[in-house]
Amino acid sequence: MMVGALAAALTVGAGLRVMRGPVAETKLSSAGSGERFEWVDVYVSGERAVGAWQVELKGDGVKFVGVEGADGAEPPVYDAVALSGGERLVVGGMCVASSSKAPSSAAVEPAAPSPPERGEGGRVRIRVARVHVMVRGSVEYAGVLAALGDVDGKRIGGTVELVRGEAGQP
Amino acid sequence: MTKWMRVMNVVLAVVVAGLALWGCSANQVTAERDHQLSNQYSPVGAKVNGSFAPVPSDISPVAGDGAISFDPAPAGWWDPTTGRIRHALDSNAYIDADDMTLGSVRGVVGGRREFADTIGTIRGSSTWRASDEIWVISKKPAVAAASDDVPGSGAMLCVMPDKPEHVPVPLKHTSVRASVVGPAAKVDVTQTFENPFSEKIEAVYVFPLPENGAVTEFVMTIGERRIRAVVRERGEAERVYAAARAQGYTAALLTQERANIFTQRVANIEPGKSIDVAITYYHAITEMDGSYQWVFPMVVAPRFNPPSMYGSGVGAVARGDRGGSGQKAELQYLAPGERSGADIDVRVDIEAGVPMESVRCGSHSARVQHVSGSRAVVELSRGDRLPNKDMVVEWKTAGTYAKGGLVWGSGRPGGDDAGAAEESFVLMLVPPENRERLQRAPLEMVFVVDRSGSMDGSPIAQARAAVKRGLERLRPGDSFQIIDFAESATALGSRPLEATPENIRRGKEFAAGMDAKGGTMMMTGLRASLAFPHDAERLRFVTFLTDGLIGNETEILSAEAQNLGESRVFSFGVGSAPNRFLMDRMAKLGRGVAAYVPINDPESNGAAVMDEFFDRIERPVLTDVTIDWNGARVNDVTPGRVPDLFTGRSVVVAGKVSGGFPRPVKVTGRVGGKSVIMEVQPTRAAGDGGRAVAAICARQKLSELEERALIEGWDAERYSGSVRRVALENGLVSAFTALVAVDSSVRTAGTSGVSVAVPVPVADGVRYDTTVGGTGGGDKGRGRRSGD
Repeated sequence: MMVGALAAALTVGAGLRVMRGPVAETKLSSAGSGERFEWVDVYVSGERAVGAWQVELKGDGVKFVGVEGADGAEPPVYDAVALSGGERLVVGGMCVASSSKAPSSAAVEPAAPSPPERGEGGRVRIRVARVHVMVRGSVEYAGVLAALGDVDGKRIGGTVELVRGEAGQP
Repeated sequence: MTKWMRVMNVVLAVVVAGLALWGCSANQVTAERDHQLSNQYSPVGAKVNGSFAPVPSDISPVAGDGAISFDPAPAGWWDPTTGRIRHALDSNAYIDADDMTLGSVRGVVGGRREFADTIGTIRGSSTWRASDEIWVISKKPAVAAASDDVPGSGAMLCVMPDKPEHVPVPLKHTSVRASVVGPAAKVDVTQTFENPFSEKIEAVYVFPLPENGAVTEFVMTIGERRIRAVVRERGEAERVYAAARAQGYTAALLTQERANIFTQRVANIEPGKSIDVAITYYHAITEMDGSYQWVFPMVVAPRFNPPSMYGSGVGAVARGDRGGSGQKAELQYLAPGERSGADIDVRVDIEAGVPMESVRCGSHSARVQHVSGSRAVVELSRGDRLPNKDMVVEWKTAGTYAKGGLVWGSGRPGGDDAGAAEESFVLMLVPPENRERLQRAPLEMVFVVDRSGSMDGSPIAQARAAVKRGLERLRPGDSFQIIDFAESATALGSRPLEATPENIRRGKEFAAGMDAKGGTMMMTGLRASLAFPHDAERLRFVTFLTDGLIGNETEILSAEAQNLGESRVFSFGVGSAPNRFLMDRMAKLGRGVAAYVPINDPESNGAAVMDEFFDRIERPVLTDVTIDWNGARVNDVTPGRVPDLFTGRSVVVAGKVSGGFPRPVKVTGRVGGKSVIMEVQPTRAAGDGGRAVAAICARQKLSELEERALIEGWDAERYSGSVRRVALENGLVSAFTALVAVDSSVRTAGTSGVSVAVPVPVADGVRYDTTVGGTGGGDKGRGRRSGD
């Protein structure tokens, strides 16, 4: 119950205003020409297992065209108000680390979810979303981790990482 | 095409027409027509005793001596007695009066889309019956290549010569899961698209949703991967989708054609693959005469598009006649006897919050399971899964039930943010139950009946029964008028008639003689009903009995708003799938209420619904309604002015609130000269409840904008800008916003594939041959008739 309450508070909108937690920023470049589609995988790393998260993503010359959950998980939600003011995607969701649907670093097709990666100092790094984007020319993404909570509903420190990818020629 | 070829076409046409018609009855003509069509002939025609249908600007009429020709020619057939054109355009034919042995066509052609012409008589007309249709048939041109712009079919659709009764469609299944909690419903609609063909396709499906539904979520599922769509300005969403489609990415786009008609497109479905598209919408459940209804529309019935709607309506064509209507959006209809492979299952979970007295589904065969005293689950039976009529689930609450309520909450995800800057609220106002009957003032009743082709059969019979009962309920001192309309309007008299026994008898005779035929020029009926002088001594009630199957709703509503005067408009939606959006809006604008006359519910009929109408107007109305928010900081409240509340009909008031509701809200009004105060206790909604409140509130705001635009005559830019802002901020699909999802992870091989429409059955009780355009005939496709 407590997890749910905090997770809800951490997610989009409310979390942004009520409890602005650890802020970590990252940038990612994408070079190319013409109009094309690509994806950006969003990873977050926390001191402990992540229960809820919120990330803000933006970039010149990009259009966000879909938000996918990791490994078949419920797709994260985004804040329509933020998006209506410009190309700024505020996206967030909840994680249940013990679930078979736990976010992982798995790539596109694998069916079996991978467990969260444990890094230095016991940090946990998980893929929480894949954001589909239409881009034109060279672009630079900026990601901000706006809020992060653990599975017990407590705020934790963390970082955000963006990994870009695109489909190959069929 | 050379002129010689055109002439040969006409010769062929005339010969075929002659074979089809001479000595035939109307039924034989129809059968022959269908036979000819099935042999790759399409109708080409003209019209007599009236004007030609408006022709788009790319048609060049050529006037000659005693002849009119068109290049390309207007296609269709004419009825020599009524002069009604029944079909539209064919680009591979030519008409020349000199070659037409069946008749002569002459006159003056002018204007770009308006034709003023006089048509000569039909020679040999003595052999014709009034009900016969004259057909001129020419060979059908080759099927055009699939276009990217118009929903429709490619060549692969509908070619099943060995199994004509079964049509492969890309829509495999629709699953509907509704959860009703008190006055709000959340509905998840999952459409499963599957590619049964050997090459990649784009699936296009035009489908209905409730007119007051707020579509907020849209998730595309490919295998185990689920992608949430993003709300965009419509043009931008369409561009994104088109680019994704062209580059081989799987993508989905949801657009709104009308408040209750949507188009779903799914691009690059590979052979044998399936893709699920899940749509979530919320809507309010309002009280209707002591009961509550949940309605799920299953099919868009063919609609008539008057000339003013050319290119921007929703066309109705026969399966395979892609682009045949010339409209922006188009539905392909299955012919009688054809069955698509798609089916539907529906499950409605109702938690009334108070004990339920009864639960029933009058429209369909359904299983009702009573889970508890206040909860029931209704499931559509397996044997009744043809999606061709609205599903209506109705329940009554026992004893004293909640008389209104106020809920507020946040629509933003995870928004249990009590004390936040701004949240949404919905206040359901229910007038106090009052069975007292008032000494009513004399009435001026105007019965307006739609007798267009789509009303043929049960609908017009129900409408006749309703008018008959209405006449019987009149009292000395009342007056009445009956107006019916199809292509044109006719009235019982030039002015309202006193409700004397003799006049009532005349009225009944007039009503009994109303036959359904032709297009739906509702504007004509509307103007006729609101135009004549009002008798200040009587309350004027205008009752519209129609299926509302037209494409120019905005024009109608605008005209109503401008011409309403002292009238109150009560709309009666007739049929299995009436245009509830139009019915509800007409009533709301007209300060009345809407009612529905189903054709397949043994417990409801036209006479009973008319009785309810008279019962309603004879009971006190809650007027001068004001709301004391009791310290709450509310804003953006819609409607701006609370309308009068009729007994048994609730009204939804919505808006924004800062800091919640510290105390109960007080609603005051007057009933029959007495002051009434109602106190409404506010309740905070969490989770899905909060999202429902926000979505319903935003949808109501869009409706309010629409009404203000109609009444105040906003220009298009102001209107679209206002709607766009509200819809984008709330993630809603609207006329100017859309939801788009692209899967950039995988790029499919080959071209983007042909576009395959999902053909649908015509609505139950609606005749295919009088409503579907394209090669199937009918008047609901382009309906490019002049005379509006």
